[in-house]
Amino acid sequence: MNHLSDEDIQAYLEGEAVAKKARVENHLRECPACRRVFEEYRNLYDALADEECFAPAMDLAEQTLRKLRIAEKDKPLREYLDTVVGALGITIALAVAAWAYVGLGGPRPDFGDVFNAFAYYFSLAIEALASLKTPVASLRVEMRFAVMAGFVIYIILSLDYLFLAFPIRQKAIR
Amino acid sequence: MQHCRGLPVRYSVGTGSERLAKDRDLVEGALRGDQGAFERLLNRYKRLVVHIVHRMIANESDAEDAYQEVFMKVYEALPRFRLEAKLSTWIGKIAYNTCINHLNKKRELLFDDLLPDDRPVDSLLKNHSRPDNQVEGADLAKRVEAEIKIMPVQFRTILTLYHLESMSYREIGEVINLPEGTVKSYLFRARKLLKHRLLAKYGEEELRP
Repeated sequence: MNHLSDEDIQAYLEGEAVAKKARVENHLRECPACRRVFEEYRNLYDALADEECFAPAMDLAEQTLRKLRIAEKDKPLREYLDTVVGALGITIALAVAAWAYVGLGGPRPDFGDVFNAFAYYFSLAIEALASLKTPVASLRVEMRFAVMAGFVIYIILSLDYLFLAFPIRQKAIR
Repeated sequence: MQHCRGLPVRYSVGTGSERLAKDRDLVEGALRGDQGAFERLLNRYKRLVVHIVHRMIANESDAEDAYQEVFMKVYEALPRFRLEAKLSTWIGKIAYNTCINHLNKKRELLFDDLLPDDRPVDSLLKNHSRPDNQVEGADLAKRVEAEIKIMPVQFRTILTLYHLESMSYREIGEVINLPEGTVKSYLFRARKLLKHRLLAKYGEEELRP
């Protein structure tokens, strides 16, 4: 008589040996050696499902929540500073890029091209800034200055949305 | 012949979908800024995290640190959670990876921990058996617990998720990033190894009814 394998017995205990079920049961009735292994596995299953060995500190959840609240409290100012630093950085980088583009003799803008449009507005902005140094008060310069200011505000608001408003919307704990 | 009474009850379809809906409410609440939602989420899954962490990390204070780290990560990553996924496997995965990183950092991760290869169980028995961790006068569950703690990490985790968390092979596979078939094969091997070790260490009477 072929004995049942460990895999057969485990599969039977799992309720997986549907096709072999009758054969396994017949064998277990007739074979004391396999019945012993079966009982050993059954006791092992019971022990494996026993949770009493776990006694973690009860206040762990509360400690974790407290830690999260502290981390959250510090967050808004940090996020705000990140936003300002990020906005300034990107604005300066774009301005320098536009200045370099115009300075290197790039073609004047074709409005179908987004990059050219940005470059154009920034070149106006840089020219405006430059002309402010030599006090030439003309309407045209003021308009250029207004365009530049508008762009800077637009970039700051976009970054603010990305880095500040978005995470705040997802805040879980205050 | 009756099936084993220690066999975990798998979630039925009804319970599973209710669970998913409840999870979705908790995640959406937490993302909207509902103060209590994350707390309820934490209370709902702390058992799962405790089970994984305490089975993977032996040192009590390290395990507590890892537990807190897991929930900090869950909190940070919550906006990236896909609502169609199962929260239990997602949190389980974060817990498992956090523990693996921790063991790596402490240089406690052994080659065999992540590669329980196809060697026969008998050779694993020789390689891992440590006769010094005999638990005297304790009941079977405590001895099993002590024995599990010296098994390869993947075996420990699979046994925990299957028998204590009632996860399916597929869900366990998602947590520890292994195919379903491998999970099943490791689970069978882990139980066989466990039984052999208990018999070798404590004698046949230990596993008798």
